[in-house]
Amino acid sequence: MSLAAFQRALCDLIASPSLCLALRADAETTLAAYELSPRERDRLTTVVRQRGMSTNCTLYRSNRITPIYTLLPFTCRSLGDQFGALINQYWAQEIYKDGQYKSEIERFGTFLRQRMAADAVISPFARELLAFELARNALEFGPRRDVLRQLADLPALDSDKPCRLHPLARLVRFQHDPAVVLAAFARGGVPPADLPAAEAFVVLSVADGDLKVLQLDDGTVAECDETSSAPVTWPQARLARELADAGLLLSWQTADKTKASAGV
Amino acid sequence: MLSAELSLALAGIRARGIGILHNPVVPGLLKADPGLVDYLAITPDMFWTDYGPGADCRFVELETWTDFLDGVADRLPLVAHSIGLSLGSAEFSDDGYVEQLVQWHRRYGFLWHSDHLSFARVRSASGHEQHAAMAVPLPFDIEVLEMISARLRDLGRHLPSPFLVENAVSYLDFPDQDMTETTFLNALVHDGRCALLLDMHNLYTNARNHGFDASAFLHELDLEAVVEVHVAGGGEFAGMYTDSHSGPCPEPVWQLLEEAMPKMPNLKGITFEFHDSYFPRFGVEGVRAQLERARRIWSGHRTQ
Repeated sequence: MSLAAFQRALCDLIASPSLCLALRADAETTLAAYELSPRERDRLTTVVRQRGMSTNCTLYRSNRITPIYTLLPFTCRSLGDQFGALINQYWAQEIYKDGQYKSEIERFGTFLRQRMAADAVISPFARELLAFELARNALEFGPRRDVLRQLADLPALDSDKPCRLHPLARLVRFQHDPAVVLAAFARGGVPPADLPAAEAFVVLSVADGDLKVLQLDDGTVAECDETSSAPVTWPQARLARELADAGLLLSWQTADKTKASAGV
Repeated sequence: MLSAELSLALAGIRARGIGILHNPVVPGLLKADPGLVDYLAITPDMFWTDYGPGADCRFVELETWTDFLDGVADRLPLVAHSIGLSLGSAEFSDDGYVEQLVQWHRRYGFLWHSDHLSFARVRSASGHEQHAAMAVPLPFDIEVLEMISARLRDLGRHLPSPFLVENAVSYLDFPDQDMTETTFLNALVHDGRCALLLDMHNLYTNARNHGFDASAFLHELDLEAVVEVHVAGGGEFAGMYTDSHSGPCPEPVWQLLEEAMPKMPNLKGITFEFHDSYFPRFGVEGVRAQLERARRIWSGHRTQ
């Protein structure tokens, strides 16, 4: 078990510059939690003083931020100067578990939502951008062919019967005009901070292959009774013409089957 | 020297020439120029999301990525360069992951399979899986050698193609190791369970940062065991020269390759690696120039 403890200690040090500093100051206390041989203890107290350990700590931060910044770019930029503090809080709370990009952004998303619920996030756009980007990634990382295969024999949509959103689509609620917000971040900028609040919905879809984003008009929005970014069911909703025209509404009967196959 | 069994397996693999490691930019490059490379190296881990041991549907493939692979597999030989085996982890083995690799071997017929002489996966203090977010180097000790040899024996029972271990980049210098890196690598090879993937840029990076002679390293290493070579670029970062795959290969790396080529009779290919985030400043011509340079060196030493 000694080698395992050595490896765990090394990983903990790489993940924490403050732990490195603590080890430099007091090796006995800092390494007390690890069952190490004298040689392993010597190695850790030596390498923690090497320039390469600083490089490793920096690489750790760089590599760990990559999935978040790559897959949630608008969200990260919307956080502005607060991003650094929030990412440090997140890392202090959550170890890097598995090296999987999708899992890491979902964990960061959960953390960020907790901070939003506590009114600890300043950006007025972070909530909607997080929902938008998590939805986009869920679609782009998810299976598509199996879902479409299961929908192949679906009966034609009947406007008098309950319907649901296509499993390869997600509904996202915006608190500001989505067109203005998304265009601003796509240009590398940010929308004006005084952009008026205006609730709106967009539907993201990969049903046709490439990602499509459809902004629902006001009338359709009024009919929506579901605001989650997860797949939604609308058993009570009247048929939304735009969604039906886009092929994004399905008959309700297939809901359980396709939800399971979508891996959600 | 390679084991008789491994030599036999390698004898059945024709030398290929020049390859490139897949990244999101590569499909576009191959579409524009199908003859750009002689083989394609892929990191299988990048083609799926792994929901972890115990998940109902553990490996969910990225369909747009596998579509590309399915399209290219008929005309271009594939080799696998995984990042998830974590060969050096002291208390981590993942049968489900190995089984997934085996299934991909069946599907794509990888000529050979490689992974790194390092570890990334450990158990946290609370018993959960923890990822190091990087390939962490190992001390070259007898204990580690025996552990990895045992793991390679187990892998050999599952993976159907020759397995290559890649020399790691290390920014640390562990004191009081039982042996040198070359002794360690040679011992792994002589145990008969693997051949070598010699990453010339890792060697250059280590030699530059730790002040040793890369040519002496090549002299000490059993170069007959080298089946694949990686070349890449890097740069200064956080106080050291790093293996960032950020652009063209430094001149000393090409010189090391030239030096080693006559001594690598089992070499099957030279693979160029770059990170796609650097592609905008590197460009198509930049990639092509690196591949052409590698091909000139290959052709200068091979008659195929």
